[in-house]
Amino acid sequence: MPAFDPRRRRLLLAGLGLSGLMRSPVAQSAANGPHVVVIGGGFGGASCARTLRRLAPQVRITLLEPRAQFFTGPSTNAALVGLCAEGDIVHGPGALAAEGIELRLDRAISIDPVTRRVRTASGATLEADRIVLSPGVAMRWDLVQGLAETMRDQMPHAWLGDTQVATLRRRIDALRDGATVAIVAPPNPYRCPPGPYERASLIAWHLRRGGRGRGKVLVLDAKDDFSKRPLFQLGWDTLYPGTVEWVSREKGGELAEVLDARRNHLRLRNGSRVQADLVSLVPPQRAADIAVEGDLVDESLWCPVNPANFESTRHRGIHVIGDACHAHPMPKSAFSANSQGKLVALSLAAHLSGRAPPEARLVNTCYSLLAPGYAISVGGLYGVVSERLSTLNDGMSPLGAAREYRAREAAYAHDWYEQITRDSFG
Amino acid sequence: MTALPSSLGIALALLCGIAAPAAAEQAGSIALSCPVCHGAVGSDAAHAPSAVPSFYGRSAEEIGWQLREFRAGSRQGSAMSRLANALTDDEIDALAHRYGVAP
Repeated sequence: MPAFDPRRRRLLLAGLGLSGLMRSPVAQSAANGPHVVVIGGGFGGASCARTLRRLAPQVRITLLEPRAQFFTGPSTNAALVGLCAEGDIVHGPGALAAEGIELRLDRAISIDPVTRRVRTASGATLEADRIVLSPGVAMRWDLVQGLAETMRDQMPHAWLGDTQVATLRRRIDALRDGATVAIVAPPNPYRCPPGPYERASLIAWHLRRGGRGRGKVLVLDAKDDFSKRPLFQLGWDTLYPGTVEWVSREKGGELAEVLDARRNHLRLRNGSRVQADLVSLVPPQRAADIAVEGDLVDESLWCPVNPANFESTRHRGIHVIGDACHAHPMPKSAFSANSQGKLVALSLAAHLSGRAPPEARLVNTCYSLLAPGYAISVGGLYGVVSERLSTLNDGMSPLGAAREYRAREAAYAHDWYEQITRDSFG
Repeated sequence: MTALPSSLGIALALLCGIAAPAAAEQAGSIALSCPVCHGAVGSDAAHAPSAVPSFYGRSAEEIGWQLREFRAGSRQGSAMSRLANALTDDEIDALAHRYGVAP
């Protein structure tokens, strides 16, 4: 992992309280062109804005994102167990202002989906010719008995790039030898499908570090299958025999009730009670509030889109990308969001200059780290077949691969993180 | 697969400007994903990936040949094998043209 960069940390802390407009010099030339408002500056929104800036100089691009920097979802689990510094996973759209994008460190609070008027938390109103919405997910606290948002810091999910990453890291660091950690994995679909299982792996690594071996990691699951399951299970058997226990939905592993959040006391669907030293509860998810407010979600609470250009099927001129959109079979990953953002940029640039729309070809690759020097991956190529987003080919790392292969994928995972953050945020 | 001659032929065709525009459009959508692992074009050496093999500075023929090797399974990668498996000849040629440098 790269050396800790204290500048990033300072920027993060400054960015959390910043607001206002950073106007770029290049924006003047596009002042009279069509106005594209990108809402959300994560991997989807930032890569869309950057790509569109390169492809369509005549377009005025505004990016609305309240946080100049945040902890990225990718590599969060590595940071939680000290495999990299917190500062190493701090990125964001702060540098995009220098690239000819009007970056407003402000939160979109409403969208009129017909007039495409966007209102912000600071009171500004933006008139958009096109909107690209990449707002991410919101947690659903209303689906489990006894669960409330007030418990978020008692059973930290660290899933949304905020200060919970530091909270959970401290809690993991303070675990005693022989501790039991419970990870509550949500039902599909949700951000980062392999995330809970990578977290279980790396916490197992942390518990067994330095000869300690009596700890336990329980994965309490609302599902009977998960991303890269055979590879994770093989890895757990090989690296941490007896330490990681996955309790599937079929075996009653689904969380039924939070009995006492302060004491990490849970009741499962099979009636058994779990008393852990630490619970990391990743709640069920839906599209972020702004997507709901803007009438862009269907009854699933995700945003249906036309897969050819990710335009909402509910409202014209609004494209929804990243975790908030319904893009099955693509997983809700940083790479998917980045790829969708670029497709939308290409298709907007083609539309604005009267060219034929691009053919949709989308890419995903996700690496999961099970231990230092041991990673696995999944990925695929996607396209539109019979008007549906479809997998053209996908696959996982081979089950029977040699240890050198896992080590090589760990090196790829590291490089991938460096490249995708640079590609998305400059 | 005798990929090299056909790749070379199409690369020459692209250079001569007789390739179908559709192929270039297809390369656009996929091609934008390459830098996510392989690094941005023109990024300095310090920023180039160290573990992920780089294709920058290679000729179009070389890139097209390698992609066909991945697709045929005669070269094993991790992510690359899965992606190349679904690429059409037109897409491979367009990618090779997009990222290949003149010999």
